[in-house]
Amino acid sequence: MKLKNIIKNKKADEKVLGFWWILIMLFTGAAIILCVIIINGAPLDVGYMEADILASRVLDCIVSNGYLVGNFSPSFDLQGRCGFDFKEIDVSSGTAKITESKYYVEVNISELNGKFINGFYTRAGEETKKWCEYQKVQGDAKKLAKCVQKNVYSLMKTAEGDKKILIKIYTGVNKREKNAL
Amino acid sequence: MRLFCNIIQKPNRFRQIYKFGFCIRVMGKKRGLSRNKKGDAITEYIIFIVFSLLFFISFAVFLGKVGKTADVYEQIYAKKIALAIDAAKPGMKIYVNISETYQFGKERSFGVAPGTKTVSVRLGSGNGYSYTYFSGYDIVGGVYPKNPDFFMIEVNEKKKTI
Repeated sequence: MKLKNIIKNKKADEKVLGFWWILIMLFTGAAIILCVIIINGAPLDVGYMEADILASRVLDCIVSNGYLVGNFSPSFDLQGRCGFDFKEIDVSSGTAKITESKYYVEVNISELNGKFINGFYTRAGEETKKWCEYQKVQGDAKKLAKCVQKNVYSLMKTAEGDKKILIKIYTGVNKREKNAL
Repeated sequence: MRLFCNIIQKPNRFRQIYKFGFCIRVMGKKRGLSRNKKGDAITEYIIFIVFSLLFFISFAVFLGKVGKTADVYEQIYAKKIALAIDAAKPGMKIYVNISETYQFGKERSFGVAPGTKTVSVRLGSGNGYSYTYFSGYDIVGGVYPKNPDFFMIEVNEKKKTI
């Protein structure tokens, strides 16, 4: 039997390589290729991981053995005290451009009843915070900054003795051009 | 399906048969494998099997190769090393296994630039990829001389400048 007759059997007899078989194979193949392209085309986004590491590093820096270390004022030098360097030098445009706005750290220390004690945040990264706030409204938007919040219970030494406190650490990383585009 | 196929045989010139998971409606009387020539039927089966095998092998090859491009691996390693640097504390030495990158040829370059706080990776014919880290510590990085399968990162306390 000739190949032409096998693929397209004009006698309408029992078909092995019938039209439906070929169609289903093509559909299955197309579906597999589409899925693979979608999965592989997705950006390799490490924004959440980076924000999570940042929050953990901040926590390690301000809490030691379960106790809050040091006094925090709004002008607290986070980068100098905790070993961070948020300055980024962008030379892609030909001239060196220093930006510090890609990272945001906000720490709020309060009593367990919610009374605010102390806190600080990085002013340069306020734009990142705006993106994160926008993200809260828009849901988990893919092309926005990634933010992480950690709530930790700790102790603070006071004249009256140890005081239980709640530390809220909010960190954000805004590297959209490297993670989402 | 086979049962369904057998039950609804209609008393007209069409009949339904079950073949390869399908209930096919065909004309004519049932004549079995030897309807034309026995050899034709066998050839038909062989061609069908060969076609199917070719189809699935080509997909297996496609799935095996896709996503394993130098560009993707450059991005993976640059981000992996940058995250390791971010998470590291002074005094740590981190070894990242980079033996997988040999598949793109021996020409490869891994580097850490403390000035711009950038990790750069270039593999074979890839375009190269760089990712920044936020650690303010003194970072020294390079392919481990004793074993080139590893990229070594050394984290030290930053020397204070007055």
